[in-house]
Amino acid sequence: MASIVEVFIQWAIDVRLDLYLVTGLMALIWAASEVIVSHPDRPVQALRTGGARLLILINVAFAWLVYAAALALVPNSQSIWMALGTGLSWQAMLRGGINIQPLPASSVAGASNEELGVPLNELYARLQAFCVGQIQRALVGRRVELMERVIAELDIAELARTARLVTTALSEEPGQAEQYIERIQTNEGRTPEEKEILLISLILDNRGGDILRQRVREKK
Amino acid sequence: MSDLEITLLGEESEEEPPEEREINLLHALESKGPALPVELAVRTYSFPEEIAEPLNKLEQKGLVERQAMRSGEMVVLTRKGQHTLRQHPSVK
Repeated sequence: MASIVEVFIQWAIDVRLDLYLVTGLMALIWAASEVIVSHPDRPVQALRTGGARLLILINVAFAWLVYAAALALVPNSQSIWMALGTGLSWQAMLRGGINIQPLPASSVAGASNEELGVPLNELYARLQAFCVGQIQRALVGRRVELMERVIAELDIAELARTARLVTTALSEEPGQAEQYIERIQTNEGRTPEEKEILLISLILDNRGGDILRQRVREKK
Repeated sequence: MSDLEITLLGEESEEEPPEEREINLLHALESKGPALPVELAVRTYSFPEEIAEPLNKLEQKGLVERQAMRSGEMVVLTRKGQHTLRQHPSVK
């Protein structure tokens, strides 16, 4: 009697699972590059979020779906080139009009396919928007966590010094940033914590997150 | 609202155009992504109370959206906001 492993191996050979893996790998690289390109300031942090992982998973799943649909539409087309091509261009193929039909057209009399069908590309766009939202929420949440840690460890003078360092080196408008730091420090109506939050936000906004983390580590 | 709907219905022409400060906030959101209100203030070298009013106006016009988070609220540029920004002379 064939073991489960043998059955799986036979099934993998029958469906050419290796080609699905090629398509999936292409979709994975594509999705990861999209996340990196859309978050140039924090590519690694963005990739580490649950939203990014979900987006990659969805991309792989959709690429497999498109590959399976392409194989069904074009018989005997199973090849490494087909797998590679689908992995790279499945989004364009999706926009080309492969639709999910959740209900058979005959089940609702008089209803057209357009009314019943959920276009696959629209479904993907919605899922993609959800994932992007999750990535953004996670990144904002992490900035808030870092703010809390920094407030506990660093004082206003040190934060102002770091803000000057970072904005002088990295800001596109160092003069304006200097004036702003001065305004924050000399503003009498603001609590020390509010001043700290503003200075930390300014440092983070100028890609100074790593410097802040380093300063906090040194203090501990 | 989709770009096509905005174009066809011409909704923006019925509203007063965004002021410079509002446009600066939209730019800040587009270039660096969603942010807490305090972060948005910092991006435009302002204090949070200085951007409160323009931010409210942008929200009323549907150009930005506030999304509740565990640690406060996040301001996000809407599709209508992106469209308005693209049509603004400062972008061209």
